[in-house]
Amino acid sequence: MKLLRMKYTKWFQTLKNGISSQNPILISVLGICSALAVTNQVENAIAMGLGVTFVVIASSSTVSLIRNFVPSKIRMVAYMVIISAYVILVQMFLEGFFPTIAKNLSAYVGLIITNCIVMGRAEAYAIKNPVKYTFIDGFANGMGYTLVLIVVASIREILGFGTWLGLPVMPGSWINWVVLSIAPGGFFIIGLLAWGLRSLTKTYEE
Amino acid sequence: MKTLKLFVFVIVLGGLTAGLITGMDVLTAERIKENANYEWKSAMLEHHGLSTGVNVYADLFEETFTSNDTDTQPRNRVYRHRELGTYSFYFFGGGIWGEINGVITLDNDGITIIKVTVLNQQETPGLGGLVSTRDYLDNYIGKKFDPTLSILKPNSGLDPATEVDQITGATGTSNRFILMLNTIYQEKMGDLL
Repeated sequence: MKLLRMKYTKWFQTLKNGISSQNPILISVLGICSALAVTNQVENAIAMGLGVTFVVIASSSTVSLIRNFVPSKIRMVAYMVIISAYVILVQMFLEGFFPTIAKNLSAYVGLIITNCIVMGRAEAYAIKNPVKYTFIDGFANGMGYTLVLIVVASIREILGFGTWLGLPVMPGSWINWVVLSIAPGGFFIIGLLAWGLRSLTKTYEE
Repeated sequence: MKTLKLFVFVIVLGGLTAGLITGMDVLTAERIKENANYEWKSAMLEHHGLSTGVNVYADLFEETFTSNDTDTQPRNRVYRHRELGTYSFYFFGGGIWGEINGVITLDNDGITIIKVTVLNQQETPGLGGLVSTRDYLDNYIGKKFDPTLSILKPNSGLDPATEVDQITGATGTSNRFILMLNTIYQEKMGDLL
């Protein structure tokens, strides 16, 4: 009974929306550029996913915290300043403590600033909701993005390189599917997953 | 009143974000500076069977290698192993699609290759991109710059120790990579030998 009631709570719905029914990549089709670029290896997908999750949570929470003080005329500029600051923090942190991952992700960390998910959540959710729900929304959307990245990267790395997280998982006779290690491979996999999740959640374009 | 509110908001937001970035800079600036050399220095250490993390590689590198050439940038120097007398140096040059760079280690005779590692390349994945794989680079082990390396050709009449396999389907990358190694070898080792 308690479990049933939980399904109707706001925080559960927010979490569910971000991860599945309004998944930023597969349903809303946001953040596709980086999703295609960094998903040829699982390690990069995890780092990118965590980076975006941190930035979405932090920037949305900050926007929510100051939502009553943000002059509406300059709210978009304010989002950009806040998002940029957090992205720079992530970039510095990776360069300082995880230089190899920072190198692999190269320009894509900086491009989190232009990731539509981050700006989208600030404008669509954070500016109208209290911090606690905004935090959950940011976490849900970040995780929705991260999970898709990991699934796509797992398929691409296993079939394209014969490894998973750098560990060999395919037999020695395995011939790598090179197309999956380059960007078009990402399109195929994300397209198939979008089809699958949209069918599952019965989300159709009008 | 509205303008004043706007002005205060911009100042406060600017101050807060600048403070955050400055704080992170204080925390990471020194590490970022050190990490710039981590990639190639750790590769040289790894060529000698020494595996190390970001935090401790710098001291180990100083203990392991020496270089007489102190005028140039650290990355452009030729390093000698203090005990084994091997030579290691960083190389870079153009591939088909972009720069290829890495580290090579030679035996103490100065001509025999012990190990080659490609750190960065932008060649076609699955074709020229194989230039950075261990499987391909292991073909270079034991080969000699005598006086140069060349692509393996049947009945070439050359010493087999100076010939290396090319990457199947990536003749351009193979040629450029070998040319790069030959050029940089002459540049770095020409005066030392």
